[in-house]
Amino acid sequence: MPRNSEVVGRGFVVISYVMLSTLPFVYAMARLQSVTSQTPLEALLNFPEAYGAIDALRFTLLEASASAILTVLFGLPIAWYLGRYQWKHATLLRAVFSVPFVMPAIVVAMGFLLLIDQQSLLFKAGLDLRTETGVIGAYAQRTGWSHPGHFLALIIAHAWFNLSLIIRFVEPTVARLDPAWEEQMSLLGQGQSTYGRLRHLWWPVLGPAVLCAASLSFLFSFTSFALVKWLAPFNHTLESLMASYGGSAGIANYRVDTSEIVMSASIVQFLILLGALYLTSTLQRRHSNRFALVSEHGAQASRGPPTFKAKITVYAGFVFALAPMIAASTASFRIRNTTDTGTRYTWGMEAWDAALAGNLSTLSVTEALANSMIFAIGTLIIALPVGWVLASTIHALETSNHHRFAKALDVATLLPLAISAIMVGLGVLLGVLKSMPSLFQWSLLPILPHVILTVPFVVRIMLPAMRSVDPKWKEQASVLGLNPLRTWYHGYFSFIRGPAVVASSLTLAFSLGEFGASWLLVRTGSWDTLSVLVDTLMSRPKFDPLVQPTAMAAATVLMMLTFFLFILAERFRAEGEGGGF
Amino acid sequence: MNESVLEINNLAKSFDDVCVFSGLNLRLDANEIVAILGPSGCGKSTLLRCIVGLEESDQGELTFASKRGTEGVGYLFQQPILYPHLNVASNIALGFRTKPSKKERQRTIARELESVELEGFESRRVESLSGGEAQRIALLRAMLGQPEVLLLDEPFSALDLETRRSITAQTREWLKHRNTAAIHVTHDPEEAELIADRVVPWAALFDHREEE
Amino acid sequence: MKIRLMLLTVLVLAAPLSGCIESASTEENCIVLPAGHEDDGTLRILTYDITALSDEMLDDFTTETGIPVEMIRVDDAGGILDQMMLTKEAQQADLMIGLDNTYLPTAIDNCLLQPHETNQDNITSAAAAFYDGPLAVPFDQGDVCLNFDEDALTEANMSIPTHLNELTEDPWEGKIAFPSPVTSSPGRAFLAATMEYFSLESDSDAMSWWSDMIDNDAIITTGWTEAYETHYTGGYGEYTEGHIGDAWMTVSYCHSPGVEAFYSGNSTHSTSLMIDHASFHQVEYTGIINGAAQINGARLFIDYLLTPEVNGNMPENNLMYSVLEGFDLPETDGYRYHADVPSVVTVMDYEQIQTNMDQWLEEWKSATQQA
Repeated sequence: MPRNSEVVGRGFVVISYVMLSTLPFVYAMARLQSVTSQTPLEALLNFPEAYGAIDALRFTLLEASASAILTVLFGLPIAWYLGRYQWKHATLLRAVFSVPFVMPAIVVAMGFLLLIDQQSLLFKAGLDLRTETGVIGAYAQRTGWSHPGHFLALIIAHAWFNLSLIIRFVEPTVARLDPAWEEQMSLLGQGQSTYGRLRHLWWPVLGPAVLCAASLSFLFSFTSFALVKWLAPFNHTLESLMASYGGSAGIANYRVDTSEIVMSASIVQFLILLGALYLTSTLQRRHSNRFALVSEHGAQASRGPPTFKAKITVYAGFVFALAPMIAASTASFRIRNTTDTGTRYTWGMEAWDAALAGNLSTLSVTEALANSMIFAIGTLIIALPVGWVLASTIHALETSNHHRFAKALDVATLLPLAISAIMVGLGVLLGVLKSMPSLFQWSLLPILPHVILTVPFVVRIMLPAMRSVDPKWKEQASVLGLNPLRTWYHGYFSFIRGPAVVASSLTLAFSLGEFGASWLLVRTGSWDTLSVLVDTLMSRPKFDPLVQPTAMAAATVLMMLTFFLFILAERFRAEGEGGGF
Repeated sequence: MNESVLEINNLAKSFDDVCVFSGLNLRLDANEIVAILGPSGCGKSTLLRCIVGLEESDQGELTFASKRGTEGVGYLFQQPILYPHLNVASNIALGFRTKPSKKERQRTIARELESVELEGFESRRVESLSGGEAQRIALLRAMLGQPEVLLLDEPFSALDLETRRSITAQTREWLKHRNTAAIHVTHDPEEAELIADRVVPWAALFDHREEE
Repeated sequence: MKIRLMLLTVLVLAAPLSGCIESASTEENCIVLPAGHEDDGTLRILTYDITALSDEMLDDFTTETGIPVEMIRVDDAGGILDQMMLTKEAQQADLMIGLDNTYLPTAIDNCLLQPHETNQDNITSAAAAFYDGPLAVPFDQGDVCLNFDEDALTEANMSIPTHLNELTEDPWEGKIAFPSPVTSSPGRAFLAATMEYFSLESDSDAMSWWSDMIDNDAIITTGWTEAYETHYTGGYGEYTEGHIGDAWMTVSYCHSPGVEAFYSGNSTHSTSLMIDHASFHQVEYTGIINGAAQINGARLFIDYLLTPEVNGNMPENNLMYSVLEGFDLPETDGYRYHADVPSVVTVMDYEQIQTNMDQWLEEWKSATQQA
């Protein structure tokens, strides 16, 4: 029976978080309602009339679905082989596959643009995804589909981003499955064929994990806007549509049309994503249950080192995961030099000098890095305990048979992922303006949206770990006469410690790369983060050839920091742990 | 002399230079139940895994009388591997080597369950079964493929004494009724005596001829 | 505490009044609002990413005046207006830099700026013509016009257009990129130019022309950067990532070819389309925000912005003309040589923009089916 103080404490955290994560949206919606004089239902029904809305919805659904499918196609073989065999540098491999997930979108966009431009291998191989000549152009002409090359580039970039989802969900399951399950199946009538084994064993065991990763992948691709802006400039997703008009929304008697668009689009997006989230949380629950039945001894030991096919697959994935980041870093050393005799490229450190000295902006890279770390650590200090308490509350509700409440809270913690970053920013801006304008002077204000967006991930990582801790560990410890603290430590915490480190590094990395939600918040130059710095430089006119490489230099620092955090986290992740997100 | 269904000559198996066994010989006749008696860890399970093809032997010959070869071999693991996402009937159905109609399938499964005194268990969840019930169902499933040889890898060791005795006797009766040859490995002499026509000590497998 | 409460009450009461945009409300209806935030001695400047204000410049200002400066950056001029509208009840910045003459009347109508005195004697007549009142001071200017790629036209054997209607014909199909006037200030400026241009024509009007441009697959982008960098073939864009290069013409400044040359060792294949009235004289302003806290600092910064040392360097630092008499584009690397100067540029007065701009935007949106 939990103590009263524990219940009160939990209640406080839960209520505070739910309010914090939903109030901005509610507030923004209320403001939009008053500005547009329509109810949310009316806004929903008027959605088709908002200019570009239907096209944006159609495009968003198409690209998000295609991205999810491609993520599974790319990621599943990698996850399979990674889990199946014993790899020498497993830690490094896992870290590299995890890093894409937290890369800032603008850096990724630049990296992919470099990979598909006219100097790229892809172009030389005849696949022009950018200017859409050759095969792509012919296809466009024949089918009447404008910009198939851009679409392809976009979904490949999304698949790259979300690769780690499928690997993190599926690989541990494959790695830890008792070989007896597979052996038994191969000896039964229905298990004689590959199809039989897929249908009767692998799909039931891995299916929930794959679907969970796919639905999360759908969600993240759905809310993408920076990648869409750069890779598919002729199209809009709902989010990029809202981003275009978000700056002038929510103001009485001023550009009411933008308020209408933002209101309608955000409701439609919210409803679709809510569905995706509900599905995700159901699937993850099912996945956790299946997973709890596997053995302690993995299959890897019995399968040994990887086969040739496995190596090809995983190493190809490794190169794919690194390629955009390497491309972006390399671009920081390449300086263009145009004279009357033509344009040449030289290799040099000028951009790095400019970045470190802060010549082209209000901040140097080192100052921006310090700011990024301050925000990141601030976010961690709040998000980790809050997420932990939320996860353990959900778990406590589950184990005490309050399944409905558990489910409701589970979905509630995911809600911020369904809410457009624009709405979060707008809501925070309006809310703070209304009630506490002095809060704007607080330079740490961006931590608020960072916390809102990272807590769901902490919960997603901690919750399955908590579900899989056997109560017998604690019982054994108490029966041995250990005091409550040691009982908690040996019987519980030591099993949660690994996931907590993973959650921490993820939170730090997300905070480092995030700028979307803070987009609408007033930004004071001296508190710019690395991602804001990259974005600022990339948005500038690039007459000066140093601008772009300097931005890439800043991006490289960001990437290295994120990468380092992940390597660190992987050391703490226990072998074959079923983390997932 | 009965015709043999399985002949093993000079079989050897090592794992990473550690020899598990070598020079192993065994002959199994049709309808015969042989119990191999040996302590834990001596290599009994490895032998069975080599016979069914889960491991590859390093040396020696494995000759099946039937053309089906390893396909005609059934296997019962130490722990009953019943899939938790399927109910009892669906688990059993995995054993079919052909594709019977739904009606035929249901009839067969019902009949099989009745034969082991588990009528009505079709839609039960596997988590709700006792150890003995689970192992009987695993046995049913293994037999559905109509194997010429059934390999039993200490399948009853986790059960309590009473259950073990009754299920061992039941299994023997059942195998005899279906004319199925079997190799049963165990460390328990009583169990070996109960089930087998012939008990072979592990060490005897390495003489030129097996002795009783 | 009581005084604060009174001021707050005044603010609350005043806010709805100042929020009205009934047409033709003049600056006389606006009251000067109390500070929207605490004055901690720092000057907060609301601007787009203005490169003119380098670290050294800001440090120099702080050294001279003892007032530290913080920059609050938004994406573009439209963003400045949006931000001021959004935070009207509690302005967070003191000084605005970057609204141009197509946005200024809206800002003034909404009482977003407060009056101050600045010595504007040294400012050119071209810069002062649009507005010379106490609410805003010009700090740079330039002519917005169409730029095109000379090499592309030569290769395609096309002649340089002499009339805007030629751009609606087949050879130009899908070859022109326009930043949207709804979201881009050069786009807005060019829209105004077309209004003027076609008002002088007897048999065509601007909105039909825009419709025809859309039918001719003109590319509409959100901002100048996307049009110039991603689509236009004549500029530095071909060396940037993501360049598509499907437009031979775009909206930029008449002196943009000069900027290209300046950064490319006196070489460029971009040039401006010199058609009378098809360019617009844009002036950018700075002004003290209504609701500012650090008013003194703001005044000093405006003065600083108009010093020859700072304003004279506008062409190099901000890629725009200075507003001061006697200052021109530098001659280095062909900046001045390649900068085009239109013979007849559209110059609109305050009332024209104030009365018509919003309506033009609405008409443009329906004519082009854009939001």
